[in-house]
Amino acid sequence: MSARFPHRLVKGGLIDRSETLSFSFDGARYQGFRGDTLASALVANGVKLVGRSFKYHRPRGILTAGSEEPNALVEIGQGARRDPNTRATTVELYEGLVAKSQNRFPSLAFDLQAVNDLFSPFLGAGFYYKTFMWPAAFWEKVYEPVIRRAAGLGSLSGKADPDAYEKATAHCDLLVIGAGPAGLQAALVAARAGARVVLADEDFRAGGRLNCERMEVATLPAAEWAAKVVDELRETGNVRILSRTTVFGVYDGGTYGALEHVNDHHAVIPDHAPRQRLWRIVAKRAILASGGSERPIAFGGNDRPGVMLASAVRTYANRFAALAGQSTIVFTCNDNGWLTARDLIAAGAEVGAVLDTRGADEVAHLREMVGDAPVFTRARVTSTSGRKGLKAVTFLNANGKQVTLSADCLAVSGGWNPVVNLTCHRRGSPVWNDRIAGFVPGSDTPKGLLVAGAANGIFSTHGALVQGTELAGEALADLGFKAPSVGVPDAEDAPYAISPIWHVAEPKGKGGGRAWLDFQNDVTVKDVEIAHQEGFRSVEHMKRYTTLGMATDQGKTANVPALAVMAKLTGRSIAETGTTIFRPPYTPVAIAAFAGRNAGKGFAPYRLTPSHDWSKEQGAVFVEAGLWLRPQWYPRAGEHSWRDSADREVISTRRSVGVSDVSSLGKIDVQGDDAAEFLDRIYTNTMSTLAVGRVRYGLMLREDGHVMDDGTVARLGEKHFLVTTTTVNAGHVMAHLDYCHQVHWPELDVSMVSVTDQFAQFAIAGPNSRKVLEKLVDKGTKGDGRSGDLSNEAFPFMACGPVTVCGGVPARLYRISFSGELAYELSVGARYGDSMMRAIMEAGREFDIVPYGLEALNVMRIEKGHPVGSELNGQTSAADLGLARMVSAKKDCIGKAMANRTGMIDPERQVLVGFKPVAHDEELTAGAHFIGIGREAVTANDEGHMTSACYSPSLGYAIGLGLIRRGNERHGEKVRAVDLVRGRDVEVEICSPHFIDPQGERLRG
Amino acid sequence: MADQPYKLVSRSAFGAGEPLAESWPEFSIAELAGLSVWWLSVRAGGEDALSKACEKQFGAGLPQARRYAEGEKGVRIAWAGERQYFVTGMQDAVPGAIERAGRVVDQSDGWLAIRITGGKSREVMEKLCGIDLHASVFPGGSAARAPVEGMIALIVCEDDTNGTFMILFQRSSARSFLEHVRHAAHSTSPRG
Repeated sequence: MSARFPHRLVKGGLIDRSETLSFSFDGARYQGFRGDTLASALVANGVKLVGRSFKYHRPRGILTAGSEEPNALVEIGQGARRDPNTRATTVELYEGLVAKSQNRFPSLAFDLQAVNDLFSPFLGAGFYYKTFMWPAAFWEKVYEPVIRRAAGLGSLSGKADPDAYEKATAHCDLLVIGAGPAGLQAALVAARAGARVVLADEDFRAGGRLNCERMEVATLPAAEWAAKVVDELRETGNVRILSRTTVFGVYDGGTYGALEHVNDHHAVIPDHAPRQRLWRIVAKRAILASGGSERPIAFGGNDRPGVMLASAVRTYANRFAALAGQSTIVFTCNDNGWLTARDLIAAGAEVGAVLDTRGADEVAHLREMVGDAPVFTRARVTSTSGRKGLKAVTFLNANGKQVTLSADCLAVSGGWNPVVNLTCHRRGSPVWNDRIAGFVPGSDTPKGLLVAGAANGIFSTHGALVQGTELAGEALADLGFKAPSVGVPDAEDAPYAISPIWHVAEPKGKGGGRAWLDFQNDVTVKDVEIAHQEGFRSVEHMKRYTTLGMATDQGKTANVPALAVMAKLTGRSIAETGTTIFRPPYTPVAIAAFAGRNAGKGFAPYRLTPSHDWSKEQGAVFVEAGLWLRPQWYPRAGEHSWRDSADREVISTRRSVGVSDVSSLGKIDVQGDDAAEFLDRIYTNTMSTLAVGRVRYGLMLREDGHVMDDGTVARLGEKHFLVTTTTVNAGHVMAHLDYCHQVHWPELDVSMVSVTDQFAQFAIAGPNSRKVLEKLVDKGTKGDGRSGDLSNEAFPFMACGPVTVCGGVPARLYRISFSGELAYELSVGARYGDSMMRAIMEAGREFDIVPYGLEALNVMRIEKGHPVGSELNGQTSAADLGLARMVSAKKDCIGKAMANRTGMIDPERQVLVGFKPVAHDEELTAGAHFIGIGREAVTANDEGHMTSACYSPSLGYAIGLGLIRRGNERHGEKVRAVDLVRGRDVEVEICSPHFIDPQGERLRG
Repeated sequence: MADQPYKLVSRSAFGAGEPLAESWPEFSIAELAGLSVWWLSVRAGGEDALSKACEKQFGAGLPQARRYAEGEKGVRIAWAGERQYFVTGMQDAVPGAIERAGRVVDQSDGWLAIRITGGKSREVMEKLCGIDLHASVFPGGSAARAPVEGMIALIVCEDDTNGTFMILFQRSSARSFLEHVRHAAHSTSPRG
């Protein structure tokens, strides 16, 4: 020991003593070394009390040395970087690390809520199900906040996470999960065979238990052999070693989820570097070598700080040169626990006693490894004492006599569990193995996943090396590789001997306190007994009633002992009792890691219109339309709200001319000998009769007869069409067309491709739109359809054709109108989009042209009665929208048969009509429900709803479109538009949906 | 036409005057400005005819699935899906023989191309795209349609020895695409 580190051995361990690292825990400053975990550094500094338990706020210390840790949960970092519920046992120490205990007030040593422990007789399993039942109004307002405050783990900062996360995909022939002896050997065999290998291990140092045990492999210290193998793997060039990476889930098709803690071990993360990376690993084969985890034994006071798993005590001593106690007692039911005593003695530490539950004969061969240390056979620990840390251990000796020994560390080994979690993620079930008294993988492991070493119940190092070699060979053979001849190195091959004990029942009159099963959720043996008394027989029900096995550790140390206790209560075997379902993730994964780059602005890709930069220069306000960013309105000086801008844009367009970039509308080029026939089958109306150079409004239905999308179809040539779609349905319609061709009518000769991005397209609308275009469209190129004559006679409503603009740039012109005005859509190559917009604005300057955004566009289409997504809501038929005449009686089309179902032609259906307020100064809101005058605003009286509403600057009052029963027969009737969300109740009159120019004279002008 | 006062100017989707070119240690990206991109589709039953026409016109027939064929004068025909191809690098108008044998649609404005290269290019791409670009799986001459960060793209491997790929993607998502590539590049190969 040194004065600076009272619990640190002066030599040994896999730590770099040349690099001292400072850190703080609960404000106190400590030092550790490079290679420490936070837990090992705390152990080395003699810190035992590290947290308070979930429910009773009991003092808790470090139990394990790995990712199964249920107790030592701390907050790491400060401010927005505060990360709660982090296992101190997996936190790699770094300079400046700030850690705090959690779930305590005001301090860890003096926690006021520890008073809960005094009331524990009233707070047993299920107490809150029975206690907080009434009054119902208290559920959310009183009970839940109080319970949440009183019980819990750490808390988030409440601030946005400032760190970056990313996702990546790795492909390999063989994924090896775990870099212990089995994993390293498997990776080595595969690497030498030339396979692409990914080796993932949750630790920052490969080796697994090899780093923690005093043993040799191939005549080298085990950790040294592991390091040597890693060096060879790195040099092969075909192995990707992912350290600090936990494979947390198994998914379809050989896909594994893994979380890499890329920079969690740095105080300051380099610019642009991710804190964590979520891997999607696609592996042709995988070998699970996740090892085993030791389990505790339930006895009175087994949660006291200083009571640890024997393997953890050994790990801290051997790997980190840190002693968990000055005087340690070992309590075990298997040979493995003795190794802890052996190693502590070898390190010069005091071992107060070895307590083995087995008889003297069974442990006779082990005695020499602990020298003079007292050994008690058939011993059972019944209680411990010590306020915030272990002071003494009381046990019954072979004669049933109670003995108390002083100790500040109790190393407990209840045996080992293979870590089988990943083998069950595809709904596999582990099976009980009596030899090791633990669950091993069943026969229904995920396809392509082999299990090696301790994870498969092989607990000797030699056995793990052999199985790693064999399974790698098996996987390689499956993949067509020739497995190289790789010898199995010499290593310990001790048999695993265990006589399992799960719970030390308290002797009568010698109550030793509560015996804990689940440390994280404060679940005792008695809680499981209560669950049994309450009639919960299924292990799943027991879990939910007691909360055992929940929360961040998912019962890694608790489940098997609890199952054993439950089995005893029910009289069934553990095998019959079974386990709860193992689900991903194996260890907690931050939501931020799942999001990766797809957060904030990067949540989804965005698409820009060709004139985006120009709109930005104008100060446009943008809105998302699908993935597109489209101008919503263009504010001008003096305008105070979006309404001011939108009203101006509408009025200016209807009075003179406006322009809008409509490039985001889907555009699909359809060609082929059967293109016309194909479109006839897609659309409700006939496209084959459309003349070349003409455009037709089209409507398509889903298979179920509801309207899918609308748009235009332009016939560019005899066998060449251009289909337009709504912005948000562009991809969907493209997929629909592809599907129909490939699945329904592969015999049709038709080809289609999206050309949405190819063209910049501008709607130029208003009475002066033709004059603006005449300045831009080149004249005099007759003979190829590009006469440039835009007169009504030469280029009437619904005409289309090629033109050139601005001195020879090829373009297409469509005379179509969404606004109801004389309007055109001009289409040029997207590279010219920005320039085209500027040219249009320049040409329109003399007509006071305005750009208009989506708000104005929406107002104008409502004024005109055009349906959009609000009306094409997946529940409306063509007839509902007043478009029944567009369904041709002369031909079939997708959805036509289903559109004639009884329910679809029910005269009581809601149909699209217009609405205007009886009092013209009233506002209308979309989403308001229509209720008859004098009727109560309840669901039973609901007749429909307002789909779209706006203020019409053209009319001077609000208008709306909506779906209401028998709407067509009710023009002039008054109903109420009731908007309970916004508290509005407006009397409205049903009218035609065509508020502006119902005869269409403007657009034909 | 002569007195037309309005002139249209071509503009990069990245918004820059010069073609995009950026580099990081062992990774660089360069915009293939002005690259012509044509979509080519097979008429029903006309695969052989189209392939022969391509062979005659470009010096390369239609490639197998997930491959591209290198023709003459920089023309490349890349598989882009069932009976679909992208033809890049045509300097002149589409030859009539090709139009007669297949169907062509100009996509030069709709699809942009960048070239990425360097020892880190696969590492960058594995953060953006789920397909396996390892040389043993996706060697030189390979082509694949694949989403890149949710954006439609066509990836072709030009040289598997130095990690050179050409990536085609849609114009409207150019800046979003670039942001993701830059981020992955910064993360993979920081400039120091």
